[in-house]
Amino acid sequence: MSESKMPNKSTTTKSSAPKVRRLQSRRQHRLVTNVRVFRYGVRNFTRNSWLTVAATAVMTITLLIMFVTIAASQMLNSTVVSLREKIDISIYLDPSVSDDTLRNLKGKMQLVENVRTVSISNSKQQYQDYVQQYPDKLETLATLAEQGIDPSEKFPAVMNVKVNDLSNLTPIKKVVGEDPQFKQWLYSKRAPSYAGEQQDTINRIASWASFAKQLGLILGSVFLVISVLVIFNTIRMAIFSRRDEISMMRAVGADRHFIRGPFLIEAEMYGILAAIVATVIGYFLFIWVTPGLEAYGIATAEIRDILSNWMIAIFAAMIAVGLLIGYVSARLAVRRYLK
Amino acid sequence: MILLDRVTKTYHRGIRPALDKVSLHVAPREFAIIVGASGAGKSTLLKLLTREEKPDSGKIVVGGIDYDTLDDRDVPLLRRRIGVVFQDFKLLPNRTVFENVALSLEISGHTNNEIKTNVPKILELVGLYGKQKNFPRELSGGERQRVAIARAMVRQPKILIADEPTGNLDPKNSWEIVRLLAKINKFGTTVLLITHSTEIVNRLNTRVITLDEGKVASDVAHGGYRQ
Repeated sequence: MSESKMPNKSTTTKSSAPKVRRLQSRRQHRLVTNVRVFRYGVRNFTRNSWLTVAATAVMTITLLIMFVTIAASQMLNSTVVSLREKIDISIYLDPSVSDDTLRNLKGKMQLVENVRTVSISNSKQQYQDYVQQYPDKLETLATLAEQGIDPSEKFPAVMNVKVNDLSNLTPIKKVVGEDPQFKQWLYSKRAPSYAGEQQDTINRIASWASFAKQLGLILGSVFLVISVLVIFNTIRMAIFSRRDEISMMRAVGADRHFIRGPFLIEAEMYGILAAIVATVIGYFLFIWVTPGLEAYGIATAEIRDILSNWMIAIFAAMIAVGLLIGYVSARLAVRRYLK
Repeated sequence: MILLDRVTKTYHRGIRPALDKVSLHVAPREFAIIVGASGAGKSTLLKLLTREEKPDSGKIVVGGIDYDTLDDRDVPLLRRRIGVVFQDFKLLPNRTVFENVALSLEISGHTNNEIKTNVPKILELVGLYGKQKNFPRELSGGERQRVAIARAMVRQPKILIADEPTGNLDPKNSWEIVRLLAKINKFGTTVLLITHSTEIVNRLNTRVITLDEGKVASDVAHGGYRQ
């Protein structure tokens, strides 16, 4: 700041301000300019065909991994849920237990942590169930009756317990093992079934589900970073290859928006294209593997419903993620290399 | 139209300023030539006028815009008011003549209709009417410079600054470009021609401002080349 220009600064400010403002009235043509920025972006996108293919491919893989991860963990989770629905814990009680005691025990069990529902059935009901289920065994039962044994008094009463979390049975086991009333009435000839083998299977599926989710999360993050880097680099190369063009546009008065905009649009085009490709591949991949998965008892119905009912939303979400990745990476490149 | 008041610009401390308290005034509709050897400060002057650089001290007012009050954001707007022609043309190789000229209007937000009417007119003025669809590589040096002039003039700026516009051209083409600049000046545009061509200076018989080591060495109304 030299002293010489200070005295008349205020007067020139007044005289030049309206002119600058008049210049700014050109900004009314914002829409026209935005359309042009968009057109340039699309043109750059189609012009860099090889870079386009590479950038889009990486982004497609990223989006596909996300898609598959979410679908797979959803499928495995709903499989686990449906299997767990079917399973309960059976606690066998002495046939002579009275209905009052049964109700009492049921009340106790209901208070235990992790227990969802408790149902009871006494010796007689168990007998009837058995008879209904195995009518061919009636003869055997009749033989027993002839020997003076009432089979309906020999069936243990059963308490069926459904739990929220199959992997946490300790509170139930503790009550059954330590409560004096339970200990008194526990059927000595048949230990409580804690759904042993099935539970292992279910737990294995559950751990697969969480493993799949974690793997997907890790792979997804890795590819997210890779695709940001690849797009960053693509835009960087585009900026370098168009250096002369950029300096020329600046010289003739292009503003930042006009120079940066096309690069952002270009990167977002990768995002949109990748989202379309990934959604299509993901969808057909799902249709293709469904029969195989069904054969393994994987529950695919829920995810199929989601896919068909929410197709547009899923597609929109994929595009949103693609746009976001494109925007962030291009923004980083533009900020770094287009000062 | 162009006013510099004691403008100083130093790039590195310890080295003499590229421009040292340069004051000059170019009136509206004037045709002024800036001459000087390399390192005399011609390029610095251009950079200051297009606001690629800021002066260390001194005042610059161009077309009524005081550079002291000019916000960085408004620099593009300033550049749209000044037409600049460069020695190396700065045309986009992968766009046609029409597109290169149209770009200038696209940047400043003119509508497509304005572009369609204005671009052919200016191309006619510079004598390139039939070459709208050609690419720069299909043109001669002189024709390329005409495209650059058309691009600078299509927005009808009040000021045209030509930085060594004939530097890459043979004498015949050079003279045609200079005649075109003179024609533009006649239509009312202030022209500032930066050159080191003795022949042009001597033939034009117009105001010549000589820069030497960052200072105005002479300013002659109907000058010739002094060195």
